[in-house]
Amino acid sequence: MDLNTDLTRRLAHLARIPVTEAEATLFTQQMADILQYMDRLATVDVQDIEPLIHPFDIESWYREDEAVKSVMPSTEYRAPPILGD
Amino acid sequence: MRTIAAAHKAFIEKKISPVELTQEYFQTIRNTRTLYGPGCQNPVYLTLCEERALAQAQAAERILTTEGIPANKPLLGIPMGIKDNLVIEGVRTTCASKILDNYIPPYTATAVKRLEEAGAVILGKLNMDEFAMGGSNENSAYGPVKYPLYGDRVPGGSSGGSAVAVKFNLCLAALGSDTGGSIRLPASYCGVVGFKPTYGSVSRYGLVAYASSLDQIGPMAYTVDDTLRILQTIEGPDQLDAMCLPSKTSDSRISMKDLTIGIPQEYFVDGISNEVRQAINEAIGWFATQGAKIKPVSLPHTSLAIAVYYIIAMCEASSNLARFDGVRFGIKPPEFFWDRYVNLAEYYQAVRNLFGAEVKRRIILGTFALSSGYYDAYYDRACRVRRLIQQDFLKAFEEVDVLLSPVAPTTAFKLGEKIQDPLQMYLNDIFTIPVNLAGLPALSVPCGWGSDSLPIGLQIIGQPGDDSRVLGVAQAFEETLAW
Repeated sequence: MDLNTDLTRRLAHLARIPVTEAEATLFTQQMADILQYMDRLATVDVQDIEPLIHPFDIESWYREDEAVKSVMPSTEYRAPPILGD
Repeated sequence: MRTIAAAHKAFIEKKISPVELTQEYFQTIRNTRTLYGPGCQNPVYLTLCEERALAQAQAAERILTTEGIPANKPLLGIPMGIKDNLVIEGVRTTCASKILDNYIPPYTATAVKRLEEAGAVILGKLNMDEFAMGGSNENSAYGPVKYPLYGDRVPGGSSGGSAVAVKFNLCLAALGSDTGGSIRLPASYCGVVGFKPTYGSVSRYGLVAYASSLDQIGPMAYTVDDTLRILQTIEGPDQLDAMCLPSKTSDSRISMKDLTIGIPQEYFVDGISNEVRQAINEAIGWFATQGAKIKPVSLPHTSLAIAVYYIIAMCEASSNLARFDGVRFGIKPPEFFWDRYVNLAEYYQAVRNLFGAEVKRRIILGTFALSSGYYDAYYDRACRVRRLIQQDFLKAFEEVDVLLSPVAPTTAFKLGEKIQDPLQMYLNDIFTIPVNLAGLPALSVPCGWGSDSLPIGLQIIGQPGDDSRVLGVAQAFEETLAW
């Protein structure tokens, strides 16, 4: 996988994470090593294998449809003022 | 006094009261300036809750006077530390990150709530790798945790603070979290017991998410018995976590003659230090002398586990950490001026610049692996290979009851040794990672020492839901060691 600093900067922008020039260069090198290591997965035959997202087969369970106190903190919670008011 | 039983005995015999015990712990923590306080470069605790803890200790004392130690308060008066990625209402929670430097949660994690309802006294929040990303506790924004007495060694991560606190009696027991080995590795390096339960045993409500399909909260203590008692308190269904299983672990006496132990052949290749290999082989030998059957098994996809784990963990992390944007969570950076023209994207970037390097790297890589054009080759493929890895284990468990392996290839390495090379750091997790991928229960119990008297841990891996047996095997083993 060819990871270059341009792609690193673009990905960082997608993730809204600023990177300096030095960081972009350093990360590109480190990430290229990591991705190269991960390329070993390409050799595995996964044709009939379903992806495993959750370790075990569980089903959603439901509670009774009745109004209950929702999860709120014990004290009255108010977002702190931000704009200096 | 290193166990719950010992503490309770001392309470009953009036040798010490819960308040006195709590005060003693705080005094030790405060007096050891290398471990806590302003200007401390390597804090073990990031936040102490003295007033709150003393109130809890006083409540414990009242119950003790009137009722003794009731059955529904098995942790009465026991001082515990909590890893700083578990939220407690009103107590600063940072996940060892600058981005949550002043975050005060409005609610308490279920696991912590259950500890408190059982009578535990919460001393404070323990240092860790930032957002649980790391294997050495060097990634904390508040300074790396060091393994005391061997000042230049790492304690392991990401629950490094928890392991050091238990080992050096800065709390009687602690809660950690384990996504790729983060309880078991520091437990092994520091010589304490650490247990990662079956995935879904303990509610994750209140655990700041890193990789949701891998994260699990677990106990760390000085003995297996204490680990079990804490697990029994925190496990079980929770309305607030839809993935929670009806887990109920019991104290099992294991008959060695009925036990078949598997030794995964792929785990015993080059790269393990001689001293670790010797200690683990001696442990396996001990089980054989007790009558257990020892059987080699194969887990053929072991060499792919690290790649699978890091792809999945980085992808899930990139999604989970999107919430730290200065609007939902995250502090307003001090250099941000309201009268300057900004747009939202610049604001997000200013806040998210507070992430440490490892966190940034993982989010960027996760973004890459989930992006269109690469999703199939990386994330989707990793999930499929994950199923193969789980199938390896399930197949092995058709022939054996538990697996034994090292926890790490070596004893604790030196600070700074691996931090410059992320891939080297990742490769250290080779024995712990497959367990999280498969969702299995696994425990690290001390089994010997290497050079410099550095501890070595033995890993016991069990079948899904078979936590009782894993703990039972560990308990039987622990009884032989004059630790």
